Amino acid sequence: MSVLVATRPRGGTVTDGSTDRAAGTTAADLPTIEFSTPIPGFPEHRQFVLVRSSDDDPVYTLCSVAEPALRFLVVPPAPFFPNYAPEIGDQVLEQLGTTDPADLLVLLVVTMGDTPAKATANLLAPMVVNRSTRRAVQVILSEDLPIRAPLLS
Amino acid sequence: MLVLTRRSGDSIRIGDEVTITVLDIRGDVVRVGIQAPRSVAVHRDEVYRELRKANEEAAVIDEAAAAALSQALRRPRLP
Repeated sequence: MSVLVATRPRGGTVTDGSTDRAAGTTAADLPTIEFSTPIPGFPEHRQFVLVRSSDDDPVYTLCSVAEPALRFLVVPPAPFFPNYAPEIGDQVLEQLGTTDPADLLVLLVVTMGDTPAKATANLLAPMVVNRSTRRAVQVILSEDLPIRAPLLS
Repeated sequence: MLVLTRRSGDSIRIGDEVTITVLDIRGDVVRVGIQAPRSVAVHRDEVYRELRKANEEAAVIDEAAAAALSQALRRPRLP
């Protein structure tokens, strides 16, 4: 995951040219994740960067390069849904340019409620990223999974 | 909207690369086969709409609430 993630204070933008705390690089050097098909609802935004506020923060932010105000909170499934094992179809593997599921990073999109206790994660449609090519797609799984599963229950 | 009448086994071609075939009709249930390039995402409409709605809700992020969520998730899960 480390090659994909930049660490910066929460609220920092990705296109302000400021120096990245962790790597000492500028925003332009941040690894860009490219969605090969658009995220449903956001056809204009194909390029994102993955950031988090500190190394032990369980929550990552996926920020649009074109519009840094557009952000998704995402989490790795393992700490929250240990039994989550989505079946990624061959078509998705081909689209992401790999034949090896081990190349893939799976992230769940979080929807915040009024309080953290009401936050949910989308298990039906995870973001799947090829770690080496940084191509990504939001996959709608054919399994019967909730689109709003409570994160803290 | 273009309206076409098709029988079981008949197809419709959309553009150069998408073909939709009526496979089976039983009562009010129609089974449809879709051939499309990998770059074309094909979904049941209600699932796609639900996902789009969920994404739009997820994209609205309040900084303070995001920080609170990080805190809440960090404490019980990661010692």
